Amino acid sequence: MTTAAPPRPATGRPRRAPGRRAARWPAWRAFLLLTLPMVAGLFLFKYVAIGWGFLLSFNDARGTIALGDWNGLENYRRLLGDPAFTRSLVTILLFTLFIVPVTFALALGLAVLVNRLRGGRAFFRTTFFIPAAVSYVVGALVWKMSLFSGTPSGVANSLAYLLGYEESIGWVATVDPPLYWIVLVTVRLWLQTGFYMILFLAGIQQIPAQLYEAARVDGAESEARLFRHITWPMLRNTSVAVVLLLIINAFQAFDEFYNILASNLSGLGGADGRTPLIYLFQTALGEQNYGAGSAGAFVVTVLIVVFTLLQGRFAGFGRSEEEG
Amino acid sequence: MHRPLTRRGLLKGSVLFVAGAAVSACSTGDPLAKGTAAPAGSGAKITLTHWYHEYGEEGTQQAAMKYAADFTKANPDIAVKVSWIPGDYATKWTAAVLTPDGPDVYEVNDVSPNMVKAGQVTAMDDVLGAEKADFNPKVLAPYTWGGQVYAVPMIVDPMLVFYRKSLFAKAGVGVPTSFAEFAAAARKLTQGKQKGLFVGNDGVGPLGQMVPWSNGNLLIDDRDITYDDPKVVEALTAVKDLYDAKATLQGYSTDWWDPGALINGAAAMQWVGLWAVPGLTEALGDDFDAFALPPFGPGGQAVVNMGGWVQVVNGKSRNLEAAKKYVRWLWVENTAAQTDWSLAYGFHIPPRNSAAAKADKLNTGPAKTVMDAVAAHGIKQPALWTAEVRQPYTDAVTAIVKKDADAEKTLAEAAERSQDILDKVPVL
Repeated sequence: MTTAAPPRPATGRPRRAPGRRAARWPAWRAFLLLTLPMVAGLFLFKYVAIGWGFLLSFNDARGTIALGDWNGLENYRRLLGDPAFTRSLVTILLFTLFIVPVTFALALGLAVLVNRLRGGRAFFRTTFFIPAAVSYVVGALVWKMSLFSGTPSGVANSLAYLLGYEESIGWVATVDPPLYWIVLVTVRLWLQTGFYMILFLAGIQQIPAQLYEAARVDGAESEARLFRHITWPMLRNTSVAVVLLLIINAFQAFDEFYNILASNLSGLGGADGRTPLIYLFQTALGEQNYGAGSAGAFVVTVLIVVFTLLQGRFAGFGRSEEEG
Repeated sequence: MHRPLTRRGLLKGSVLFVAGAAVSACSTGDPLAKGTAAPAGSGAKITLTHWYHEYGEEGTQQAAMKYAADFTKANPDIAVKVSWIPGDYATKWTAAVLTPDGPDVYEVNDVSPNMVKAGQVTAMDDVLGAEKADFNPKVLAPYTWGGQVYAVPMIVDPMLVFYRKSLFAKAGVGVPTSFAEFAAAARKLTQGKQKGLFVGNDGVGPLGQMVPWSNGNLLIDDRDITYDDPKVVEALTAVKDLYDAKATLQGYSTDWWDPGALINGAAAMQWVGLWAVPGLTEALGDDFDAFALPPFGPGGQAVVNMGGWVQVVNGKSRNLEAAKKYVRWLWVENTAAQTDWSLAYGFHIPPRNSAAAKADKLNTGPAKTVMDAVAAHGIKQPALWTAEVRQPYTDAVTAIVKKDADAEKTLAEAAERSQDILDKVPVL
């Protein structure tokens, strides 16, 4: 739901501290004192909650978050037997398969273009990055109520009118053909592309200029060849990190789906565009079935972990540059 | 400063700072509340918290706070803190009542057996007292489990179809008497930038439930799911035809409970509640009226959906007796406040029969039309039609109406799931 703090793209060259293991107690004490509040907070507010949720997923917990009414795997059985949940998993898989490559390509493309600018680089960098500072909720509401509103005065409908399409289109409400995806995908692209562009830009600026010079001397004239043989391979670690973040973010999609598709008093939206987190929100907070809600959270977590591992396997996450 | 800050001093300081921040963050109560009234009279021994969802009409929040302050004046020992919760109210109270710091008194639409079992509500028979007989039994029924009533109704909100009289006259359309006429009217009133009907931003809204009702099937009958039925298939097929005709407004800036679309002429008919009448009168004068959703066909019934809000007392409240006393004082005895709440802002029907009978504002104009429709056709949603039970049905409705799914098969599958979920609801 919230974006994780951006990890710095790995810059290679592992630095290993010299193995001085002298008993430096004061330094240790300082380390503990400084990190303890953070670790304690993390432990108390995250790990205890996660552990509790895990136990709760084996309980019949309706209208309560107390343990005690153990029902084994019943919650998992209920979830996986519910076509609405399996459909939400398919929805999020398709969404991920689409949004990850598209954001990746757009962010990389923008980064390369911005990097090649001779003047105004800071201006464009900032311009493209600004949407990342907008909250998903605000972005979603602008998209829903202004750009893609179903009234004739909505921006998209005004454009359609100019193009000769006179009937106003209910963008969010139309599921066949699934026009609501246009709204959902464009808002996410607008919100997140700039952030990943900055990551790529940072990666590109780490590439030594000599490499390009040397390649030019060797006769690599076209930009495409320079990109293919220098920029792209040198960006591998950044790319892997970006894909990883994109996948995690895509799987946790909630904010824009919730705000665009649901009408906040009448509960949540319909079957279309219901992501796993929306489904779980509905199960846990709408129907007060906290056991099934927790079980679902773990199913989604397992999926994210599996995808991350798979992606790491193919892209070689964690291998150092020298090995690759 | 006498001495420079040492590293140790800095560490100590930062730890203290973090600890302090954590403690103060924990003790800031009610981070969700948009506006809260400070409890009047600092001498109070008990402070009750009372949650409302955000009513749209101006002045309602001030009124709620005034009632609370009046109560404290009469009972100096008990202060009441009113919290006005904007946005998605339901998910906020469901989370809050899990903790010991949940609201003592709050309002809801439904009371399910699960809520009773979890102690999120408490029996209110002693709160209703002798006045129980004065409450509309139809309204009390869905809140009664195992012979005990778990809520005090605050307001009854009938929902039905409102329309613009001038637009009807211009298009030569009369008040429809069957669903076919209703759909034809919606088509005929769709002209240029105006749509015939607004029932919700998804284009289907409450029709998925109300049209089968009007064809004589309430979808659920006590502990049996009944919507796997040719009558429901017939009704939903008709809703699909209406949807396909593009006569319904979709994706408007406000949803069906706000009369904006009707006022601005974006739609000629709208599914909305009695509460909208003052706003509509102010904007349109007498250029509007209402009618019950007509019977689907021969053998059907006209439908007015009787929604509303009820007050419940949190069974886990530390001040159970004080909370009950407050609810009795405000929502049972204090008829002046009830009348003010029901009639001075948006219009609602006071749940006490004696108060409803005296509600003169509901005896003129469109409000009178609504009241007559309620008397003749009011239907209260069955109590066990909970969010969980109806989810497979609403998904089926979307699939049938919007995606050409086979109605019979889809409903049969959904009904099986709904029945499964219903069977797990505890019997009280």
